[in-house]
Amino acid sequence: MRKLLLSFYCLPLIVSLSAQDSFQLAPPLLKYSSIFFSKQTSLTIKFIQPGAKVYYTTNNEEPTEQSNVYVKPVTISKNFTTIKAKAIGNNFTPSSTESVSFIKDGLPIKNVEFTKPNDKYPGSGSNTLFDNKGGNPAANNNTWLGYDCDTVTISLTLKKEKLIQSVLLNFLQNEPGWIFLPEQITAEWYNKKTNSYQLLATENISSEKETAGSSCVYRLLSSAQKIKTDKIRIHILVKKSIPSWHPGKGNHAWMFIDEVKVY
Amino acid sequence: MKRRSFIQQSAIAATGFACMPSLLSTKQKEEIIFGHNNKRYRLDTNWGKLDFERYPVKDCHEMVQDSKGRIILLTNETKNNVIIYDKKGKLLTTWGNEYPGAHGLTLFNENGEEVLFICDNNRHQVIKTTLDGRVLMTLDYPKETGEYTKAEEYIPTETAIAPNGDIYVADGYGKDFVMQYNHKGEYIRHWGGRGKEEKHLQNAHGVCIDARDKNNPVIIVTSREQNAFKRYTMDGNFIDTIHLPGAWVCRPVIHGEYLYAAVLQSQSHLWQQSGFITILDKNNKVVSNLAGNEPLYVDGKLDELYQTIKAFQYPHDVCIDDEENLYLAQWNSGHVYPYKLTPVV
Repeated sequence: MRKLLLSFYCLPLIVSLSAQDSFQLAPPLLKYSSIFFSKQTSLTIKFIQPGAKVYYTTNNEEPTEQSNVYVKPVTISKNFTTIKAKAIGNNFTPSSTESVSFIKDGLPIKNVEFTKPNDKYPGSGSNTLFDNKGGNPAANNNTWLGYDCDTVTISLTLKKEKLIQSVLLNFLQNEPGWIFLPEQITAEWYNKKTNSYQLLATENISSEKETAGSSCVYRLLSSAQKIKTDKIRIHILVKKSIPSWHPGKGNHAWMFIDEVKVY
Repeated sequence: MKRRSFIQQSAIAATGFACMPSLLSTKQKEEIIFGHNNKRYRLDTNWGKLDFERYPVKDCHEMVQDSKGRIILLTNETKNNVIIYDKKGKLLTTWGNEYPGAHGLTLFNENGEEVLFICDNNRHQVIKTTLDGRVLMTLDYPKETGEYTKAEEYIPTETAIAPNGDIYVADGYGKDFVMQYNHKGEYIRHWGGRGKEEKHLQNAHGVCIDARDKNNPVIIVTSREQNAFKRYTMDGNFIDTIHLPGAWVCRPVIHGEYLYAAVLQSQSHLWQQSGFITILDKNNKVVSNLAGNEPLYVDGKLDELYQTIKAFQYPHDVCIDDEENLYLAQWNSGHVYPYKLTPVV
C-alpha cells in the first residue's frame, strides 16, 4: 500500500518538471539552388541557436549526435543522395528531421511537350520539365507546372536513341494546400518497329494517410529490362476527389510537377 | 523508527526512478531565456489559462491594454468575443457574442474616454464600441472608394487611430487597401492595394501609427506575404519598406522606442507552426527574436529570419503592458490562451 501511494506522489512531480522545461528545437533550414544537378551541387544548412548543433547524414540514416556536425556546405555528386539534418542541443528536445534528395541529370532530352497547365502555375517555358531547376517546396515557385484537370500527358524526345530503363517524375506533395500526388502514373516507350507506344511501367498511388507540410516526392518508373527508344510518353491521372480525411474532401485535387528524367 | 521508515521510502523512491530511465537520464535543463540583446524574456505559458468549458477561445487574435492596466483579448469565439484579464492573468470579465469574425482590436483614448475598434472578417465591418461592449459606430464596406462592388470583397483585419481621430482600416484579407476616414467615419482617401510597385501591399494584415518621431508621425502597414512593413505618410504617400526576410509579420505594435510584432510563421517552414516574435529598435532594425534566430545584418541587409525554438505555433499579436511585459495571442494553435513574457533585466 505504501509503495502504491509513493508512486502516485512521485509521478506528477517528475512529469511536471519535464513538461515545463522542455522545448523542442525548430528544424534547420536546408538551402540549395535546385535538387537537380548535372555534375555536382552543394547544400548549405542554416540554423543558429546557442546550445544547439546541426547533425546530418548522407546515407539516409536518421541523424544522431554521432553523425557529422554541420560546419560548411556539403558537396553532392551521387544520384539520389539524401541529406537528413536535425538540430540537437542539451537543453532541448531534438528537432524534427529535415530531408532533401538530390537528383542527377539523366539522358539528354531534346524536347518535351505537355498538357497546358493552369494559368496560375505555368512553370517557366517549354524546357521547364528538363531545365534542372526545381525541388523548391513552395508552390508559388515558377519551376512548377500546376494542374487541376483530370489527365496530363507528357511526351518527350531524347536527343539520341538510347537504351533506357527508368523514367523519373518529381512531384510536389502539399496536402494542406490541396496539392496531392497523382492517382496513377504510366510511362510508355515508342516502338519504332510497330510504330506504336508500349507500356514501360505504371504505378498507382494512394493518399489514405495524411502528410504534413510541403515536400518534393519523386517517383521512379522502371521496366524489367532495358529498351532502345528515343521517345517516351507519360500519362498522369490527377486525383479527382480529395480523400475524406481532408477538409477539402470530394473536391478535385491539384497536381504539381517540375522535372522529368530518363535513365 | 522514523529514520528506518525514511530509508525504506527512499529505497522505494529510487526504484520508482529506475523505472523511468529516460526521465532520470535527462540532465537538469537550464531555464530558457528568449530573445537577444537588451530584449530578453522569460516565458509563462500558463498566464491566460481559463476553464475552457466556461470561457472558450477559438483563435486568440489580438490584445490591448487599457488605462486601468487591464489586458483585453479579442477572440472569434462568440461565447465571449472579448476576455478581460488583469496583469496576473486573473479573469475580470467577458463580453461580446456578435463578432464571429473578430480579428482586429485597437484601443483609442477619445478625449479621456477609451474606445475599442473591432475588425470583423465575417461581418465585413469595423465596429467601434465602449470598453464594455456598447456599439458606438459601424463602418460598412467602403463603396466610396470605387474599388468594391459588394461587402464580401472587403475583409478588414486591422485599424489604427490617429491622434486627431482619423481611422485607418487595413483590408488585409480583402483587396489590401488602406482606407482613411475622419473620426465621424467619413471617407477621406485610400491607398495601397495589390500590384507590382513597391507602394502596393500583399496581405495588408496590420496597420499602426508610428509617432516615435513626434514631429514626423507615419503610418506603418504590414505586407505579410512580402515579409515586410511599409511606411507611408499620414496621407498615404509611400515612404519606404522595412524588409524582414523570412518573417510573416502581423501588425506592428509600437511601445516606447521599440516596434514589436508577432510573426505568424517562418517563410522557410510554411504552415508548420514556425512562428516567433520580432522586436525592432527606433531605427527599425531587428534587435531581438523570441524563439527565433539572432538578427544579423550583413552590409546593412538583414539575413533571413526563422524560428529556432518551437515555443509558439502561430503568433498573431503581441501586447506590451505598462511594466514592459509582453503578452502573446496565437491563431489556430489548439485553442491556446495567451502567454506572458516578462523581461529579463
